[in-house]
Amino acid sequence: MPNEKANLTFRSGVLIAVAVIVIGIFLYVKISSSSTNKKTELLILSGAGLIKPMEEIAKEFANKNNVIINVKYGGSGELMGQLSLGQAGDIFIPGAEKYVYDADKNGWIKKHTITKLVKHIPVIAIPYDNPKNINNINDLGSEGISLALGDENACAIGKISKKIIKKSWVKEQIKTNTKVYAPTVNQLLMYVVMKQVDATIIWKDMLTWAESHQSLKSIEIDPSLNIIKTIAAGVTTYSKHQKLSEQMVDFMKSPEGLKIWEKWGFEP
Amino acid sequence: MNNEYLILKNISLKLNEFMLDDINLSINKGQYHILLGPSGSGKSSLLKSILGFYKINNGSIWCGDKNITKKSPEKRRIGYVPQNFALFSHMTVEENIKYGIKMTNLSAHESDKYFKRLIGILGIEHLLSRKTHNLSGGEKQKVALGRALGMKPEIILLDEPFSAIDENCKRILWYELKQIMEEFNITTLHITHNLEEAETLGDNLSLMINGKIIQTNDKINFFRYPINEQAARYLNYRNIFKGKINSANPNSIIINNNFILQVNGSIPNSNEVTVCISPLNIRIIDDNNHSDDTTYSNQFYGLIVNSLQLLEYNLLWFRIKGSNQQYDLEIKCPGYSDQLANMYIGKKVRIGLREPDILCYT
Amino acid sequence: MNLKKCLSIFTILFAVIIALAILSLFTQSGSKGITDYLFNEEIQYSLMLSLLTGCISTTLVIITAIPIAYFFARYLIPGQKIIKTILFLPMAFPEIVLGLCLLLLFGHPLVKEWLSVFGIEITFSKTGIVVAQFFTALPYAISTITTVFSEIDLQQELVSRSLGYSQLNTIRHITLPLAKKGIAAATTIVFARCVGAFGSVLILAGGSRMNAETLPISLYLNLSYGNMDMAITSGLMLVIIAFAGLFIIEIIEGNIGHSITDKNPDTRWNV
Repeated sequence: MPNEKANLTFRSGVLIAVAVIVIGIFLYVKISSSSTNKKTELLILSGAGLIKPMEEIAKEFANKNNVIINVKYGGSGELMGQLSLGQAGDIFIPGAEKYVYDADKNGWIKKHTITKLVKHIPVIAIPYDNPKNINNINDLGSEGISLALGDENACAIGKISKKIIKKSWVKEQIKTNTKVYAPTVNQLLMYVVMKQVDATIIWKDMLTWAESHQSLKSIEIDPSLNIIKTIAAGVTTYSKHQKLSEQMVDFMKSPEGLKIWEKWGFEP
Repeated sequence: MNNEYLILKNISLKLNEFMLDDINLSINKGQYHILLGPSGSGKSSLLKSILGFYKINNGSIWCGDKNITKKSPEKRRIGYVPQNFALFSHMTVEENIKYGIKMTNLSAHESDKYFKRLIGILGIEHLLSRKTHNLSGGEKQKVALGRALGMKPEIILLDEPFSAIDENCKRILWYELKQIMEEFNITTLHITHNLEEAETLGDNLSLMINGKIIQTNDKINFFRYPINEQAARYLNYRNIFKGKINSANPNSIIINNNFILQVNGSIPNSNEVTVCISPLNIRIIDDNNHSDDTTYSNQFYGLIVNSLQLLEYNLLWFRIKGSNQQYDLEIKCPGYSDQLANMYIGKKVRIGLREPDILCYT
Repeated sequence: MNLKKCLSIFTILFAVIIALAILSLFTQSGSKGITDYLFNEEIQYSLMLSLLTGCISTTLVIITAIPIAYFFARYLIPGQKIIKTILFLPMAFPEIVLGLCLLLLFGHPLVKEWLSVFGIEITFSKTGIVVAQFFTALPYAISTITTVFSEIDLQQELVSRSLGYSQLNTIRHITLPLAKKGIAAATTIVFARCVGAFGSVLILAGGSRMNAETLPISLYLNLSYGNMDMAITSGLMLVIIAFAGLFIIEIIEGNIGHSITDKNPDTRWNV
């Protein structure tokens, strides 16, 4: 009987839908209760560029202290916006130290908790085989070189690379060589890896993976021109877990924490 | 034969699960030819082959003495009225009709004259500025006809032109359509599955079943002499029997061991025959009218076992005296018949059959 | 409660949620927000760039989609399903993947060199915006216009040809005029899709400020500066463009669409 068959299909369809919804709700409740009821929870607002070491540090700390660490990654500007809205967040660790001080000025961060952690070093990134023979920042101004740089407002590296270039004597040539000002750091890496441009200026730590896989190479920028940023962290004024948050910041600065930072290309 | 205008020679066409098989047909100039057949028999496919929308696998199509088999549809100059008419819905009635006239090589003045004549004959002057979607079925048919006639074709193909028209309008329109075609003296191939329509309109008729044309005849002989049992069945010969030649009398056939039919002369040379009799050709004999006695060589006494009164005619089911069947013959008789008033179920009557109306096939 | 009431409430519930989500764009921006940024140079630039590239790519998309759609609607060749699937594929995967694919193709040294002979530069250029928008919107155009053509009775084309019109003339005089409304509606959808293209444009054209900054990129850029007001202004522009587009479609379909589907009592429960 075709009718009965259709009826059966319809019923089993409804049954499956209901089952999926019930299981979904059950899992959701379980996950959210396991995190809210038993353990304390910290939320870190982290610069997107720090994702690799931050994941590892959070995991270590969470295991040691039997707490749950959530990390929200975002551009520094975006994270500042969140702080301004007074949303949740216990620790603020943006891509550049400056934002921590700005947040402090606005009264969103406890001054005594501000801790300098590691250095963020801009370098020139080029393809591993270096076909255009780029050896220093002045080579970026040579004819026939194409560059991708960060957008000066959208990402921290954009602002810094602009300042570095300003100090070099080929700044005009570099400007003409620049094909694109990308809003995200990821684009910069992608364009060099895919050989759409010959070089970019980017954080050294972002190259650790690509360098170890011999797809990209970093070239140090002349120390007289380079602007090295410090990464700093601070505890927010509205954090409900002050003590634990301070412990977390201390952990980041501890030898054990620094080891992780170094592993991912950040120098103490 | 100069008079033949549309000639199909050995056409075959293979479509997915269907094929036209060795179609031969010729239509004289100015003739109205009906192609009759059940739906799905391949009538429309044949039409589309003639128009050039299907590429035939074999055979040739001739228009007068021109071979048009390989010509593209737009160069064949054959008028086409599709089923449901497919009027150009973005145009007015006037634009629809002028669409074809534009492709003739008439001067502006002549075109205008032709257009006026066309709409005059079709009687659609009052519709010119209307959009096509709210015309009645009959109006749509006229517009579609006018559009096809617009390019002055020598041949026109009509695909079931009455399928979208109300039952009670059909008969007047049959008459009008025939008039219009005669007025333009145009060669017409009209396909339909409706027997009445076919009989009313056709000068000549062909019967197509399962992708084959099995019979072509003029109007009188077409219905009277179906070529075989299959044709008879489609042409509504409801009384069909298997019979044996009577060994005692070779001029008679024994049907179902029930009754014997006398058929002088026209008996096929075989033991087993199929006998077909149209319900129209069986008469109920008036006992008071003795002239009937001689007209009908086959006469049977029996019983009316069932009757169905329809608007225009009545169906009676008749059982021959002594028969073991539920009924033996189906009879169609006119509704106005005086006798009919007395044709109640269970009435005993005598029926008669003329010899030429008994068709025998091997 | 009967099914009609249940379904009304269910439908309205979701309409309200979406309406609230869109309205919150307006309320978030505060007092000075929109009006201040409406005439901001950057917003003006990205609006103009979006409209300009949107118009160019929409035109190209429609011109390309019409023959392809006619082919799909009226012909059948072996392997047509595969061809169709390939053309529709970009609808099914994220725009950013499409962007990556396009960058790999048009950024390939050979292709780049060949195109530069004609003076065409696609990566990191405004041409790149058009290319990205083109490939993002093309599948949508092909699929809608194919439906439009399929719904036109082939008989009308057959009649036109029997009346002496060649295939191309038939398309010109019969098929295209009949498809006019459908194509106009498709054009509007395609325009909204082009203007709204983000991932593919960001990757292929780079997304440089005041250079390859279309409205969605402006929204994203400003979001990453933390300039919420300006981001919301860009968002509002996009909402307005989308709204205008849907409104135009309603008007186009109004005449015929309503009389057939809305007013036909045979398509609805009348209890």
